[in-house]
Amino acid sequence: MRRIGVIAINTVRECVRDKIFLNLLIFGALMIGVSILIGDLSIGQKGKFIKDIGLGAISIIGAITAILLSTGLIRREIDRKTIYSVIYRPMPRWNFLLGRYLGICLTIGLNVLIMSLIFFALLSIGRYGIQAGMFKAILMTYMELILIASIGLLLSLLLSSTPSVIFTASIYVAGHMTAELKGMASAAQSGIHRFFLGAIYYIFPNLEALNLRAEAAYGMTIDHLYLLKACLYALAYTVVVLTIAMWWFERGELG
Amino acid sequence: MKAKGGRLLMISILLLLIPSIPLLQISISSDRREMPEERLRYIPSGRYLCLLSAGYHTLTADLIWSWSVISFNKHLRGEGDFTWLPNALEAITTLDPLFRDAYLYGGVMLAMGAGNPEEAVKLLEKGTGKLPDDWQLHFFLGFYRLFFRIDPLEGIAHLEKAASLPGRPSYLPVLVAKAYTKLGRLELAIRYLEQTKKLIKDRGLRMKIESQLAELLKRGPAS
Repeated sequence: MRRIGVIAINTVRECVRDKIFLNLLIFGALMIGVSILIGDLSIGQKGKFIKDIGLGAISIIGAITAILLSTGLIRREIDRKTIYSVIYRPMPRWNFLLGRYLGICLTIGLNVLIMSLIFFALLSIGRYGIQAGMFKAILMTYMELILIASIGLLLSLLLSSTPSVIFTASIYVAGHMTAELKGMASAAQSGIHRFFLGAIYYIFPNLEALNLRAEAAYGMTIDHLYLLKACLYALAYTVVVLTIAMWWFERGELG
Repeated sequence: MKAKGGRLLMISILLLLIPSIPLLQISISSDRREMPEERLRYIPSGRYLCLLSAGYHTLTADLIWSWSVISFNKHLRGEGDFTWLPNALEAITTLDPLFRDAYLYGGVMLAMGAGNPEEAVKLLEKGTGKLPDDWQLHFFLGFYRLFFRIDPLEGIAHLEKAASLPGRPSYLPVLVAKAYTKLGRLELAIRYLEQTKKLIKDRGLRMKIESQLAELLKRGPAS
C-alpha cells in the first residue's frame, strides 16, 4: 500500500511539473474569467451564462487533462524503455499501474479543485449565488474524468500514443451520445441493428448520466439517490476497466 | 502463489462488477429523462446553427434529423406533442437545403402525424424551391394543398408540375385532370389533357388520357 502511495505522489509531482498541465490550468482559469465578459452579452441571464461557462470549462479542461495524462504517462515510459527499470523491481506490476492511476486521479482532482475555487470566487464576487447543485455537478464531473482516465490508461497499454489519444477522445464524445444510441436502438427495425446498438449502449460508458451541469446552472434539485447510483456506476465501470488494464500489464506484454 | 491469488482477485472483481454496470445504467436511465426531444424543443434557428456547426452543416442536419425521427415515433405512440417539429425541420432544411428526405417525410410527419398541414405546405414550398426538378416534392405539395384546401388551385398547379417532371408515375396526368374536374374547372381539365396528350409518347398512357378526354368532352366542351 505504501509503495502505491509513493508512486502516486511521484506521479502527481511529475504531472504538476508538466507544461501541458499548467497551460491547461491557465487556459481553464482564463475561460472561467472570460465568462464575465461573455455574460455581458446575454440578456438578463448573466448568472446562468457564467455558471454554464464555468462548469463547462471545468469539464472540458478536465477532460483534456485526463485524456492527455492517462494516455501519455505510461506510454512515454514504454516508448523510452524507462518502464523496465521500474517493473523489474520486486513488487507486483499492478502496484505500479495502480499508483500511476491514483496519481493521475489526484492530479485531475487538483486541477478540478483549482478551477472550482476560481469559479466559486467569481460567483461570490459577482453575487450570483452558489447552490449545492454546483458541488454535486463538479463531483460528477470528477467521476466522469476518473472514468475516462481509466479508459485512457488501458488504451495506452494496448495502442501507441496517437491512436490511444484519438480513441479515448472518441469514447469521451460517444459516451455523451448514449441517449441517441438508446433512441436509435428502440427505433431500429431490424433485430440485429437493435441488438448491436443496444450492446454499444451498454458497453460504452454513459457519461451523459454523469452530466448534471444543466441542473446545477438552473439551480434544480439533484436527487441524492440518483447521485449515489451514478457514482456507483462510474466507480464500477472504472474498477472494471482498471482491473482489465492491471491484468494486461501483469501479463507483461508491453509494446 | 501470490500471482495466482492476484489473478483470482481480478477475475472475482470482473465477475462481480461487470453485471452490475448495465443494471446501474438501467436504473439511472429510468431516473433521468434522456430522450433527445428536450433538446429539440429548445433548438436554435437554422441560421444560428449554421454558425455554430462550424462547417459541419450536413452532419448537424443528419443528427437533428435522427433525433426528430426518434422523437416523432415516440410521440406518435404516446403524448402526441409535436410543437417542436416545425422548428426542428426548419433547422434541418436550413443547415442542409438539399436534404430531400427531410422535406418529403418531414411533410408527411407534419401533415399526417402532427396535424399541421400549413407547416407541411411551408416546408414543401421551401423544398420545391431548392429542388425544383423533384416530382415527388411537387406532388406532395399539390396533394396537401388540395386535400387540406389550402389554395387548391395552386395545389393543382403543383400536381401539373409534378406530372411534367421525369420519373413521375403514369397516372399523374389523369389525376391532375380529375382534380380540375372535381374543383369544377372542366375547361382547365380538358386543356390540360389536350396539352399533355401532345407531349406523351407512351402508348398506354396516351390511351388513358384519350379516354379521360373523351369522357370530359362528353360532359361539356372547352370554351
